[in-house]
Amino acid sequence: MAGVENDLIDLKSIKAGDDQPLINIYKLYRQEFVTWALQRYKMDKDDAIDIFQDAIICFQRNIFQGKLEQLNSSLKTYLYGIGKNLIRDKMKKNKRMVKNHHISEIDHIQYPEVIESIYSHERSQLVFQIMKKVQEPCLSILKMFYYQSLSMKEIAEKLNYKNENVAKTQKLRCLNLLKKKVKDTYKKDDLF
Amino acid sequence: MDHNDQLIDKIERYLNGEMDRSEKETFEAALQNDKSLAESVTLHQETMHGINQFFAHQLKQSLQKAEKDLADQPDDQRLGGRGKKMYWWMGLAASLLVGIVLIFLFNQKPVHQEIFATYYRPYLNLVSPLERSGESAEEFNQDPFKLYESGDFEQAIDLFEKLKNEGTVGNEHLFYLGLSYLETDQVDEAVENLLLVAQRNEGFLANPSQWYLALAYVKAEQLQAAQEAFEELAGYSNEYQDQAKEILERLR
Repeated sequence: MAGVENDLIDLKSIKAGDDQPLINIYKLYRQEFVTWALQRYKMDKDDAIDIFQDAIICFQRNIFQGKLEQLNSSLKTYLYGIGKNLIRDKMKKNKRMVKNHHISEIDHIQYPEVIESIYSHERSQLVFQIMKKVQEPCLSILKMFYYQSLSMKEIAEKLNYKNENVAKTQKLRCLNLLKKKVKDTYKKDDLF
Repeated sequence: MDHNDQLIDKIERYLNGEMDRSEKETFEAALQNDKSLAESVTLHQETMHGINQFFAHQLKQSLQKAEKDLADQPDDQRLGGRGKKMYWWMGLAASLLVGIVLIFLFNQKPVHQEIFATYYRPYLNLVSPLERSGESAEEFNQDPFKLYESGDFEQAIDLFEKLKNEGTVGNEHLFYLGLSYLETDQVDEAVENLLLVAQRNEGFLANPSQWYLALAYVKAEQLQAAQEAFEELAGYSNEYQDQAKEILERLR
């Protein structure tokens, strides 16, 4: 593996929640990836940039979820692999959208599962919006537990809590507060 | 752990695949028959999805900023190449730009005010959160943490100070007392109390007390002390490290 890559792949820092190594990786490979995607898939430049950003996010998620503990290929190959899959997904989605273009809104209403999936998406979006107002220490606790997949013990150590039970209690309080805010916000709109 | 917390615990173990076979079968059978349980599981999945989307979006924003930096680079280089010849209109444009910048700077808030406005967020009351029902007014008025949460900072200060004089306060009391002073613009008192907690450097309030102490210094315009407090936070892994680094960049 190239020396410059070895310096960049600081999996430990990324796992600890440091975004800087990911930004460095993005800056190093972005140009090459976009050029490759434009030539190979004849896609829009903005789409290629968007996909490479999503590939970096997937890379981070894989590290957090323990799916990637060490790289068996080069980092570039790994990122291109993710990018390729994302491009294919996007192309499939675009085809489906063209195919379904003729379906009217009335058709959707006849399928309760479609309606439910729209509501489900809206509720997730609402959580996303409410998260912007979440305060510390809940922001860190929710990030560490749900996004970084850290254990209660690790969270307790990072936040100087006495033990993992304290961390667990705090996490439940934070989650309950979040759910309550979400419910309160959209009570009238019958999303729940 | 109350019933609701036990349910969340169970749902998470189910969704994370941590249940053994028989517990999983029992849970799935209950899911088939209990509509409210099924709804709770769906709501939990949606909440997790929203949380994950939020944090993924934070990284996306950082990458978009990096993208902007990359996109700006060629322009800079182009200008650098042509920079040897200064045309009269470029001089005029530069003068106009300087004028605009001066007007902009003149209308800007001082850096410390801007830092405080950008980074200060109230800290949640996790000591004894408000309960919307089953709580008497008397109970409420005797609990400084609840008063803090409801935004009645003056009353909270009175109660915290009373307890402090009686010598019956822990780190939590001093911390929220400091925050209440900060909320009411009594910065010297805020610094005094937050400093006590930060110096003890123990328990889960070690990092938050250092963070709010640094912000209290900012508000008090004690920028040297603020810088030292932020440097401490920037020096090790903690929940405020990234923000402390950002602020240090702006202070330097």
